Amino acid sequence: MALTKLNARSASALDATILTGNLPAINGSALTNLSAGKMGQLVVTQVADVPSHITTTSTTPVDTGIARTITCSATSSKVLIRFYTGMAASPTDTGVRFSLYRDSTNLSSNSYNWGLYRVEPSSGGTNYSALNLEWLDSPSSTSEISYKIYYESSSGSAVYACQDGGQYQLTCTEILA
Amino acid sequence: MLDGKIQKIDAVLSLKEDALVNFKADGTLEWLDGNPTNITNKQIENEQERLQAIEDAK
Repeated sequence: MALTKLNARSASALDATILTGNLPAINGSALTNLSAGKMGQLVVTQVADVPSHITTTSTTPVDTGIARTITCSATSSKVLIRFYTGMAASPTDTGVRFSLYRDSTNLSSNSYNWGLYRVEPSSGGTNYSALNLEWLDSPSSTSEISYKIYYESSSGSAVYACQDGGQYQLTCTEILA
Repeated sequence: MLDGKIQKIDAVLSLKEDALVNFKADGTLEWLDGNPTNITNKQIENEQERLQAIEDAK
């Protein structure tokens, strides 16, 4: 019986829901009608075992020393900043206020609005909490910029951005337009 | 003090209750008030050891 060769490009209306087994590799350039944003780059600063407390008694924002630089490939790019830290606080009536800086500019609406962790005076023992913060920034720049984590104490008592032996992670992701 | 472990911040506040300080991620100590009583690193270390001994004896 004679075999008939099928046209390799005749499957334009292929029902993808019936595909099973091994599928051919597809070059991403062949994909069309995709309009979602694309990740340009991802850079991370992280420490898995902090050698000593990151702590302050300041009631105005001060630099934790946690920072991450990134250079965007286009002025239209956005940067998604994510910050995680394992916080700790003594049982005092105080709060830890975090703010995010781009170079010397405070991106928070005020000195403590990016994140606030409050410890009530009646709480006993050491308080621990994981803190996750996110911010989407539009730096409009292709120069190197530095995102920095600042913090302060609401009462002047010692507060901890990260405890001895804890970990923190600051991630910056460039989102292309 | 966290979990019974005395840190430099505890020693500093023991030496000067209203000290304005910042211990950064790299471990450096910033004196935000200019360290008016001229507390030295050696004093901080000695006070840390003294406080830890008291804590350990509890």
